[in-house]
Amino acid sequence: MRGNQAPLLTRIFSTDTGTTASTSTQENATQIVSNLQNQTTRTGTHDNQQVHRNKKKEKRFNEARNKRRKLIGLAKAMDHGQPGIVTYQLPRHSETKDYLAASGLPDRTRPFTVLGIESSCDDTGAAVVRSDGVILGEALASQGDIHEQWGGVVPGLARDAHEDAIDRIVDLAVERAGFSSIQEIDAIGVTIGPGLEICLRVGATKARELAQTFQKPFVGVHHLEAHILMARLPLEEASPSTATTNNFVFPATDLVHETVRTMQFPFLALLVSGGHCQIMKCLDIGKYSIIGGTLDDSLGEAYDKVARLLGLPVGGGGGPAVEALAKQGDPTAVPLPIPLRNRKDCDFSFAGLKTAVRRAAEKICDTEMDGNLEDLLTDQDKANIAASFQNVAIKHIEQRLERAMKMVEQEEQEQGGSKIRSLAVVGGVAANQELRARLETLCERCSSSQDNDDDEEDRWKMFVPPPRLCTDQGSMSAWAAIERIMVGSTDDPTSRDVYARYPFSLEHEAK
Amino acid sequence: MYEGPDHLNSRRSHARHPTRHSARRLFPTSSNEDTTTNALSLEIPTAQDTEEVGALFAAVLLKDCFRDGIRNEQNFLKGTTIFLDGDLGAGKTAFARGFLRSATGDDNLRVTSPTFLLVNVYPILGGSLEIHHMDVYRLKGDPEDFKPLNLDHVFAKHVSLIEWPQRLGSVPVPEDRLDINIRILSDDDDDDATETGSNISRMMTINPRGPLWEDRLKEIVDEGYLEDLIL
Repeated sequence: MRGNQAPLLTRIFSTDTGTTASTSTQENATQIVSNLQNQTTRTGTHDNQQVHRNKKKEKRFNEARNKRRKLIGLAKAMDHGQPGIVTYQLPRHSETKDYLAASGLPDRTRPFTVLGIESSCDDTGAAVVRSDGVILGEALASQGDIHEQWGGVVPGLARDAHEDAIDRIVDLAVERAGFSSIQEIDAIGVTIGPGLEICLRVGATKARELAQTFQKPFVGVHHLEAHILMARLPLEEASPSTATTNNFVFPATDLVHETVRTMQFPFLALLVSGGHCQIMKCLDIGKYSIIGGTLDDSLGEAYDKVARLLGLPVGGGGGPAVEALAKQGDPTAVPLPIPLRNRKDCDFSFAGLKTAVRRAAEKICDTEMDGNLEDLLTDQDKANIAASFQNVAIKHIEQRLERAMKMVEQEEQEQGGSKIRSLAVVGGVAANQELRARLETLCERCSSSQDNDDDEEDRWKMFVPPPRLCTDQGSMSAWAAIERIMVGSTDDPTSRDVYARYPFSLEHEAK
Repeated sequence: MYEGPDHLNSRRSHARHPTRHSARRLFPTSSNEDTTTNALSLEIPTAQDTEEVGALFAAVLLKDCFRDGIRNEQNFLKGTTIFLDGDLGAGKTAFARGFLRSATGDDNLRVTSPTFLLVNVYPILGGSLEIHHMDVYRLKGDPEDFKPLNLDHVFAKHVSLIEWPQRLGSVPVPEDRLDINIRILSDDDDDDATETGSNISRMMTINPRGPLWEDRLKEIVDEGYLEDLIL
């Protein structure tokens, strides 16, 4: 029951319990006292008339609410002529039910190479990756400085920048991989969605042209799947990009691919980036179901907002700046609410936390001035705010993830089926060291809380790509294309579609 | 095209409760813009309610498209412009979310403030009409900055929801539009760090600019859609 009063305001409350309170505190107090006094008499006193009036008011309010909701319901039920949303699922042969290789397949009995292109947002990336996971050559044109003056991406500018960079970046990646022509590469993959449509087109057009010119198998990659699959990139086995001394290369047969893999299907994945915050059950290539998603902002967006609030640089995303500043701050200095504490599902929410951060910052400054908090806060204040925000945001993630992990353990107990004890943490924000460390601890905690924690099979294992492979780049598209090729699935390069929204098909069916 | 107030008079209920008019108050907004005499102030208890108000406006717009049984959305809706002003966390995006879910008919549509991307575009009506949800906070008011947004075209042919409109500076904007200001009603005594902000009331001030929106708003109030929230 809200009992707050703001000065100078006339407020009319209506709570869910259906009681109403009227105007000023003085009137309220008088009324309560006289209500108490008259409770047993029940005559037509002034106070009973007041109660009666309140009841009528309440009835009017309910009517208004119902009328409003009815109108909204009607509007939603209309035919809105929504353009059809295409869902992502791998096409199959109608008879054999094998995956369709619309543009054929390279020879998979030996290591093959794929040129991957990525232009879904504000980075133009290309890379040549070998089917055993070795990144042979890569190039990236980051638009951070272009958008810094705008404090973020400007789609039209991003598209222009992609167009300027794409040829150069592709050539550079091929050259660095030690090839003199694309003819020598075995297949081509590119992100076709989700993302910014006009930016996706630049990469997709280039890749499809190349695939047709050089007659190569082609894969249209799903951006989120590409993030997820990076956790399966067999880096520890053989990859110069991790600067290991072990350069042993495994031939790319089906059998060996399984042994080379560090993480098997099925597994849980936490995808955290500027645009996404989701927990997914990953069943197979092309088969993902969403267990929880954000109700409002993504984790990356929350970081951006806090960066903006504190006056930190936001070009390329505010996360790194907030993370760096947080190291100098006290994570318990600023009390903040953990979102959705009482909700029994796996969804996320950061909008309320963002508001709480702002109000806490104002409180520290002892003022309600807006816009100039960055000038009024001391450096230590800012560091404390950054650290406290990060602490609570990660705690929120931990809570939702732990519930998802317990759910999965329980499902296996009740329904049988494959055991899931692998957790992939992917997406741009997975580069955050604090997040990685805390989630590793979470996995240990979940492992030791099970009945047979001695059983290696029951221990949760976390798989996270090295920080520099968490962000958008060409090797994501290349590796995802390799995984698709290994299950026998390729696409038609003559199609011209890109998909700004590209939901997984299982998710769509669940609705 | 919007036909003016006469046809509305014939459809509107004439049972007007005297308190409805007196419930409207002039209320000083936190933006620098003058408050029109037709401004409407609402007290909104939760974020869910903010979304509902947004959904209501979209629903009213869509309903009016079907006037006289003729479906006329494209002509009717194009040029619709709504400004959303308010502090970080006040509820601008919540309003937009409600509006967009109602306008697209997709209850699960994911809507976040286009902080990073400047604008998110939602096509409706088979793509013939687009709703441009913009957040121009980071633009400094120099008309050059706004070129990539193609505002002239959007204002003329599509629907726009613009957060942080004060950043538009000297950019020409439609005279007919709806200006909404949302403010968190904070209590200095409220030290409760467990409040995320989603259960703290908002004050929403709705300023219709131009006869089109003035009449629409008047009709919304007279029909009683917002009675439980009107201050």
